[in-house]
Amino acid sequence: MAGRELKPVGCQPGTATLGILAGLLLAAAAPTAPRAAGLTADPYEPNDSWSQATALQNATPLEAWIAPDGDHDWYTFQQVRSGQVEVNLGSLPADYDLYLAWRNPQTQQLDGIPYQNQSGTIPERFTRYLQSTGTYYLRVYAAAGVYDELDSYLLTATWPGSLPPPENTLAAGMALGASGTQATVAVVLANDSIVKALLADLRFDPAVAAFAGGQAVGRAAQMSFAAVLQTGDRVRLILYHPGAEHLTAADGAVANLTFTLVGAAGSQCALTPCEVMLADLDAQALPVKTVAGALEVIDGARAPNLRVFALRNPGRPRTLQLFAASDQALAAPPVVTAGGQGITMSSVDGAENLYLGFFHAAQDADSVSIRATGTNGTSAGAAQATVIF
Amino acid sequence: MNPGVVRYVLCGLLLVFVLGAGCGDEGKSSRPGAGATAVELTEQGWAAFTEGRYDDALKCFEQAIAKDAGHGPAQVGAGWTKLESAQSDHDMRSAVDSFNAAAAAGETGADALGGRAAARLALGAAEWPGAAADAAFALSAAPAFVFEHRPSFTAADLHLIIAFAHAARARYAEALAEADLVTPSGINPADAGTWLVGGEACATFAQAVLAHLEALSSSAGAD
Repeated sequence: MAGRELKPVGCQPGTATLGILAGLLLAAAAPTAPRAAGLTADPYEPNDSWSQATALQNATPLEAWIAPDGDHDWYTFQQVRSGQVEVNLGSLPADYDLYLAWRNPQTQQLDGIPYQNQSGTIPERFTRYLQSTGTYYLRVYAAAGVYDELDSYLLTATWPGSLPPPENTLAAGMALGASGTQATVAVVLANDSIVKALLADLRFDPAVAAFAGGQAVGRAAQMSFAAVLQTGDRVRLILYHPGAEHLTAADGAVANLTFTLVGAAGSQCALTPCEVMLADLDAQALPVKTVAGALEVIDGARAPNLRVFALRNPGRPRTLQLFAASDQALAAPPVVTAGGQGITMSSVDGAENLYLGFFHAAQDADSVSIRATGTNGTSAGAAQATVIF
Repeated sequence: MNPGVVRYVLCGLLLVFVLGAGCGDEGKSSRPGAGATAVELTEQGWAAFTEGRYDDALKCFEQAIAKDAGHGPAQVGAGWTKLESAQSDHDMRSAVDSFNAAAAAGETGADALGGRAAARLALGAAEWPGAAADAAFALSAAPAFVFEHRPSFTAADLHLIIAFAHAARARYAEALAEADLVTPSGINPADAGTWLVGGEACATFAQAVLAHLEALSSSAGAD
């Protein structure tokens, strides 16, 4: 059986030196024990599933083989900012195809990216502006019975730029309420780095508020959690994953801290993160910035000021994305009706006291009236809006 | 009567029935055009869609799919018709299913992806990243997109879908950046003096962004 011949990669015709260099590099990278006598081993196997995907190097050609029959080769790359992505699959010995997908961080499933494969040995070329950052996967595959253990394919992917320095920010939110009531503040972590553990003290003025309790929320809901009053003016927040889990790069609330407001109406204080420590998978400290929040005691008789925003779905304008915002923390999600129908409202942003729900108006509806009411535990506020279709 | 004339009249009646009845005219039960191909049924479906006869349109598209399940344009039509007449999350999910079937049949144009993006936007948090991704793919495929069967749905609406998906995740700066591609707002997150929309001051940057999105949505995508 004839041996595999490595193809020159990463060069244009005439740049033979580069091709030879690349070939030598590939040959050097190949394991010493090929899969079959006389064959150069595919250095990227096993990569037969997306969990085994080989990490691609940006703009670096790679040579591999579809063999044996039924072989699938998976590759992956990380995109840290939106931009133009180009994938070239060429030098095809047979009708190999390309599948591209983005790993949806919400579902942890792969969302396929539409791509029309070429027929036969025409090179596959995917060029598109990809908005979503995160992990992308490529699969090179062929129909049953189509493979070539001698002739390789060349794969090159390019994606936007190099990694910017990771940035992590821990921010305390804002909350207000009447004296004697409770106010809940969201603690939000925006992390580019993978985070295994978080420890932070949050300082406040005990003349304004007293710490009442807390809980892990959102993407940190499964983390081990503690929030303990250290002294009269600081609460220590501890979040960590005891197992192999970790927080991936994302932006969102990780904890809610509840305070009982004790100050006089009009008093306020900062809620300042200090002595913050973020740890990565190796328990190494990560850089982190902090943003202070605030607690404010208001006149309990002052009703919350609510505002409704109705965004029409661009594809179906009679479906409304209804936001309700309050200038005060609410004791419960606002009660919102549209066309007399109750709308389930979910919190979007604790710091902004912002809630969101959806409403589908009938196709023949000319307008819909929206009403929102919310209470701070003492007084209720309301807002209304009318959408004309 | 002359048999030739009878034959002519019968043929004429049949033609009226086939072409006139379409896939289910108002007041009549659904009846496919006898012998009509999936392509013809899809064309009839789009005609009904354009006229706002969504029940008829859906019947046409479903009949086209029954004739040829791999006919992607019929799946796109079914998706748009379900989206347009959606009254519930279940209906929106069904629209997404049709767009998924269209994608599986090779329909990867902005009309299919844009429709799926709009339906996913209405389906909750798990779908918002996908909605934004679909809209971005649609834009990259057709930066000056105008939907043939509803010309009011354009590339601007695709930008708005991305912006709305960001807003739903409290990503106000990203939402503003996308919306500003449609109509610059002048809103600056660091300058409360710019948090003005329609002459009305907003209490926070987030509210200013939402007010701007609301104003844009009032003028975009109208049917």
